[in-house]
Amino acid sequence: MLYVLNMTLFLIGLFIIVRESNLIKKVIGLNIFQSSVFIFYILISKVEGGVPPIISADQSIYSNPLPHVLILTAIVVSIATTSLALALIIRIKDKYGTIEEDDIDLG
Amino acid sequence: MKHHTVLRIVTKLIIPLILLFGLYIQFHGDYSAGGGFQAGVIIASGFILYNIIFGLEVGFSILSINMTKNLMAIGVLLYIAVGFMGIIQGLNFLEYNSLLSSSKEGQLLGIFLVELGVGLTVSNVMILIFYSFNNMGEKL
Amino acid sequence: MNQIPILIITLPLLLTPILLLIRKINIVYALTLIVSFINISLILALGAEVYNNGSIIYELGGWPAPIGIRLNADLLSCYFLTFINVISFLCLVSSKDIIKHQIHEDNIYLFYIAWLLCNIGFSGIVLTDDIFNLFVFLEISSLSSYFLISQANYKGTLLAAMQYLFIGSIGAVFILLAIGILYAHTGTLNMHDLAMKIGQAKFSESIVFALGLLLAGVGIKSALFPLHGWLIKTYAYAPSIVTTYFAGTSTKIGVYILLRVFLDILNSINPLEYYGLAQFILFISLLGVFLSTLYAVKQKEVKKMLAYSSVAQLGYIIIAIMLLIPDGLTASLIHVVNHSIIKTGLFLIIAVIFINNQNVIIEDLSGLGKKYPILMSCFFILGLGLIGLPITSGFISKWYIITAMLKSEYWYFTFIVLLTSFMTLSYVWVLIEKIYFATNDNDDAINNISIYQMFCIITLTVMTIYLGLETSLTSGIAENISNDFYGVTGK
Repeated sequence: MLYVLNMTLFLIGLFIIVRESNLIKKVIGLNIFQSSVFIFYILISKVEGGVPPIISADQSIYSNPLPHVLILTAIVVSIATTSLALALIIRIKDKYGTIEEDDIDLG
Repeated sequence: MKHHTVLRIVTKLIIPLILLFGLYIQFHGDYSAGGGFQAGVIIASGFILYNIIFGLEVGFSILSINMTKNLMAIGVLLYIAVGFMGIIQGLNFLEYNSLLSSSKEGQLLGIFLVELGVGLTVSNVMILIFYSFNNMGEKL
Repeated sequence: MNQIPILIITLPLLLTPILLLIRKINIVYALTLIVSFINISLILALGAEVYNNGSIIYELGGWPAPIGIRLNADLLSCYFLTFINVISFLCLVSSKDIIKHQIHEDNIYLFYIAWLLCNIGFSGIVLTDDIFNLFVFLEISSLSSYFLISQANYKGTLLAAMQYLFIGSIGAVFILLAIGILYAHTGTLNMHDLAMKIGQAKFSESIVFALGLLLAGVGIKSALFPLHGWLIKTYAYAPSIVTTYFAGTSTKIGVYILLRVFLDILNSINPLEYYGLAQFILFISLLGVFLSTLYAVKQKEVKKMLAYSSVAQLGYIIIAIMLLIPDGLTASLIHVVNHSIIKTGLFLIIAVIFINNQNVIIEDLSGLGKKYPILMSCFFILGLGLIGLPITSGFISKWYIITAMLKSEYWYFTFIVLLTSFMTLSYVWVLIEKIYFATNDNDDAINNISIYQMFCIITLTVMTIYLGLETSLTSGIAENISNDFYGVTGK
């Protein structure tokens, strides 16, 4: 069930990137799109009856900590992409005066 | 925003706590949730909050743009230097066992230094992004 | 020495923060060149070792296989590593005079740092043995390439960089999700381990979904036919030296990922044959080759024409892979190297001559035959290589591709490949006719082409002719690689 919700988020993100013409909204769509993949990684790391993967004395079943580390790396990549996209948007705004993709006049 | 009294006083109370929390997360990376990247972002957000409330000039006088770039480079160099320590002693890259006397202490020191490098770089990257978004149009 | 694989990645990575501390342009440029040259010598040593003794495995941090991250330098990796770093070095050598005019002076050291990072990303993709590490290096190279492309001040640059950013990120996220699904089914991220375990995993539709995502992601990165839109704008609006670098390397990395994932890791479930993916991609790529060559003939701008030509040649490479016989893989690997050298040479000549021009249109090429005789004869030879005339390396790769197609009994496809070769002749002839047979009335000053740029262009031209006559470097190694892939089932 959670996987279905996750894929819905995935498709919503993809739809926003494709359909919106405002560049900032596209960046937001990209973030939603990437976040849905992070949630997928956490969903697959849950072990039945497991606690968060921090060693404590009286627990023996832990959830898988490896996907958490993978997500950390992917979040860093996502932040770098977002900041690069925003820097490009600032330069586009300086140069063309608008951030609507339809209104940018290349002629 | 310096004239908003409430904001000013609350910021002065909260920023030390934010920085302390960032340091806690930095050094507990291998024991509980945390690590270099999360700590870097939290420390940077404390600094950025200070800049927002008290003005950009104060921030520039503490941490200029050149200093930020230098600290970024030093963070990455620290990481790679720890990695090369292993190669110098004949083992593989990023092998922490060789750093200190016993294998367990070597692992702890290796993780500590590597996370320190990561935290340094990430916090300066975030602060530099904040500075450059505020200097839009001017030279960095 | 067995530390060479990691030194190829970390030596430039050690240099990058040092370059950030030193901001003087001349020192930055000199250090970049020195490290690139050391890199090439390390790679040649690694290549010789791997060719004689088999693949080298290197464990990061000393951790053994399924736990730790490994680097695996086998023959395919060394093959790609060599030509990517050689092209990078040649472009760096020629870049000094071109960059001064196109990029703002305070950003030049950042430009070289991003170039080094992009190269580290490419080397890391090729050397790694861990599939998530592949994604990380892919993102490192993609992010630096978004930066490199946005540095020009042409009219459409920022928008082209923005669109490339969105499409590239979508492709990377597809690959990330596919990696997650494969990890969920097998529990390991190491490529060799994954290859063993995916064959034993219980079948489920999510694996088919993961394959589809991988195909889409890899297709975006390597500009397979319907997903090639970003390539045209990117090549046309990037700084000209950046286009020269990416023309020979970035799409070939996509081809490497395709080979590594579909032919190596997923070998036991064999998705290309089983789901008919090979037929599907074959048909679409044929359509793509035909349409791109048609578009190339219609173009008025030289860089866009060469970009459409790149899409068409990439289509040839993908078609040869999708024939699923060892000769097809050999043909595609040969064409990867030959086409990289030819396209880099063509773009480099355009970059060296037209330093200040916004968009080079065909009329700008008139009368260049008299002004730059040596360069234009190199252009002529490289153009012949693009068409595939004998003595040039293009002929060797076309020959191998056509014999592979005839062996797998796709007769009418061979006809289409020959037809598109003729159409290639037509657009290359348009360029050459303008260069040699048109006269230019205005007397533009002749650029000073420095001795280093001349050296790079002549090296590329000589490589084209050499690889057309003596093919042991390309076809010998490529045959070894495809025998490794197809000789023993389930590598």
